[in-house]
Amino acid sequence: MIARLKASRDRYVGRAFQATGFGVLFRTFFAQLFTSETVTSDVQLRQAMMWVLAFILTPCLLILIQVFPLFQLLVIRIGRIHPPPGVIVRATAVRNLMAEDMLEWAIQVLVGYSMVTVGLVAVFVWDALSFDRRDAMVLGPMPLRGSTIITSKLAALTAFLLGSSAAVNLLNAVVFGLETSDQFGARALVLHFVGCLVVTCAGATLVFGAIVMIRGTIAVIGGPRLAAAAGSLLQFAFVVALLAFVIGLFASPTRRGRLVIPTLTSWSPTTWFVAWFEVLRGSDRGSWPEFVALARRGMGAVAMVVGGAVLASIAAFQRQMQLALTPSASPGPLGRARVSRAVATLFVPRDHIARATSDFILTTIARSRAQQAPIAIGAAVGLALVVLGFVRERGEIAAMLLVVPLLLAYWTAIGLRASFFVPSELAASWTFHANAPDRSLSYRRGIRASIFGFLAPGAALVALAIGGAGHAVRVALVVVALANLLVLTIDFVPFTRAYEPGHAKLKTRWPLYAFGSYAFSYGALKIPILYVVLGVLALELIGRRTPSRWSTAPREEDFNSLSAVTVLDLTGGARAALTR
Amino acid sequence: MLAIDRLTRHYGALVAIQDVSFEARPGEVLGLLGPNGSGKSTTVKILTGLLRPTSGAVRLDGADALADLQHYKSMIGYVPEEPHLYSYLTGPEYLRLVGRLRGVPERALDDKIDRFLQLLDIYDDRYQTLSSYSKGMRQKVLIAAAVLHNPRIVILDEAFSGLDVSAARVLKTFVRAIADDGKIVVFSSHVLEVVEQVCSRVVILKDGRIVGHDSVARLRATLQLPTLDAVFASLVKEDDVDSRSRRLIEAMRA
Repeated sequence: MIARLKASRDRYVGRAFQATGFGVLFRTFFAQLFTSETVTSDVQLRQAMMWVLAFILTPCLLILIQVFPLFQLLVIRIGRIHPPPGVIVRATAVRNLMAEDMLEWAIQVLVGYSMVTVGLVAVFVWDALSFDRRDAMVLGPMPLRGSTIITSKLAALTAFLLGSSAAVNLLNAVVFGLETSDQFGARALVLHFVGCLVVTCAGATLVFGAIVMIRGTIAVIGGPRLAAAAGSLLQFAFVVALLAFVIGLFASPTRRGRLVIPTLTSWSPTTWFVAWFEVLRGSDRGSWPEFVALARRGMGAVAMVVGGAVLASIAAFQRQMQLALTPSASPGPLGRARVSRAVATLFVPRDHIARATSDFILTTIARSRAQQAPIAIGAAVGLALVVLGFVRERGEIAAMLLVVPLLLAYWTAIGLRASFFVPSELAASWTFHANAPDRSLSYRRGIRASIFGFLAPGAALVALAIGGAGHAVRVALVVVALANLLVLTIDFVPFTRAYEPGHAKLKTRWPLYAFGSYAFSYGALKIPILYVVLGVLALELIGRRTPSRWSTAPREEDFNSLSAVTVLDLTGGARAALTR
Repeated sequence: MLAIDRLTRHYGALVAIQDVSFEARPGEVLGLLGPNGSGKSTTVKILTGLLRPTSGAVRLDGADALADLQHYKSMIGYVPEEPHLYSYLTGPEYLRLVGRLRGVPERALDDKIDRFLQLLDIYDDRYQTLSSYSKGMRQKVLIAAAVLHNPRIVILDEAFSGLDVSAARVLKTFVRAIADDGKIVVFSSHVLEVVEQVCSRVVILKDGRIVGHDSVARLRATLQLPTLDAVFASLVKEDDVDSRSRRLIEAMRA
């Protein structure tokens, strides 16, 4: 009897732990999506995220506000003109078609925007999208079923998707519903609002699911290096996509009202969701077989991608559980950064500390994704400005081509400088503090060499291909000037201090970045090369006066928190579960 | 000679160490002992120049060592308690970073690194990043990094933690050999057996103050106790360990 009671108690306790285990894990995995190992304050991190969200939402609202007066005008005209039978019926029919096309164009914009922005949000939490070895090592010894861990991870991802989709799409759907239905009544308001919200969220789900699937697949077939490289590449791609999307919409307004042709666009996901919208709102077009087929294709694609994401997550979990027992890590050929290190060494052949610093910087960039992210963003901004330049160029394509390597180098350098403020394994920064002199001109030399080694080979090669040897020399000199200028704004060994959110002060400093962008690209092309050389020398002289500001010493708050960095904080949750 | 003179360090209202004074001489291994929170780590961090004392001085050959910190740090090799390393670097890459920061000539550096890796049995793992190293392997990298530049003072904080038995035996002898080479060695540890085997003299800290400071043999003789373990228990006035372990079992079962 007592044994039966004990067994029953054990079963009950086991079930209770499983139930609370799900809750604890869900909260932990969800919190992991908002955790940064590089930021010292959660409050500042959230503030930064709110600013990013505001930045992401604003352009689409502006586009909608710009477009809807035209749509309203068209609809009002259709409503007010009462043509005599058989006289201008054809014109009214054309206007009707134009209004519907415009509606579809707006939905296509909103779906595309939703896909790009939610994709961007997803790639910024790339590391937390799948299980990694640390998760497996923490969770492996716990008395939790694999299904509980996987379900809670998937639930956290779903909650994140719903939250980000709602944040991006809800306001747009409200604006869309109100703006497109005031001539058609309450039913149209509800249908347009619901239809818009459903298809934009479905578009977001398609992209988010695809990214989770890619992340899970990489966790299964590749190692952490491949995951890091893919993450940075996707961040770069989505920043370019977002900027190109916005620039393209503002720069080419003539595309508005273009007809959606199913035969040409049937493989474009945004078209599937436009058709899905027409089906949902019950329009005439929604009953056309082509539209129904496209809508079904959209639904099928979303279902398949979600299923694929779930399967990839399960496979990644199982793989990481195996890897937790047999870790293996090789930096791989790309992780050695041979070319950039060799070029940097040319700048500091005999300075040991400078070589150590530049090697450390370049190796860290090659192997650490936290550092690659700001560089990818910087390069993406540069690429987007190149696209804008070509969209807006007025018969000066040769001059624009010459600007390309300078513009890309400038914005990559801005990203590179930002990455210096992102710490890498902060607890290991004692290596510099204990082994290196506190202040030295060598750090400045090392950082300058690393900037040059990172930027110059690529920029000079592009310049050589575009404008020949003379242009390549000019670009290399401009990169030296840029490196000399940027190093004046650094007074510590990169990656060895905790990041302070808002440090970049983009809200107030963007005119400075914009001016620099112009000066180091278009401006640098116009001035004689001798002036560039003089600029390099002047910056060099100024730089030699600054080593007294330098320090390898951690700040007091960093020193106290060196051992306080955690990733998957289950201890708090476990305590909560045990006290229940 | 390295002399610590009335070191005091406050963290806000908390007094980590108070009036700590001792000397470490060339050719001897000085053990630093104490329970958790006794001030060992603070003392070691001040000795290595990582932390400034609130008051007191660190003197090297009679001169204030902290006045010219850069020169003082160049003479120190330090193995920290926690093996925090840049885990994305390989063993040789990490050693090259430290060697260059320490100013070891480039020609000698690669040769030295190879020899250390071979002697410490981690040469075969030289292409792997430190993330895949075991704690013992990381500890070996840290020990190699600490002595790569042939320092005059070697400070080891729990240096043998995680090492396998044979590596620990080799390194215990190595630590003694470093001292025999005329260097100053400070060895901080919780493991009393190791301290007893390696150290010539010990400083025992409790609540930030020195409660014992002498050679192991003389401490045993003075207190008429058979082992360093018994000396330590007597000086830090540990609770009855049997009674405490019984209470732990009770807490576990509750």
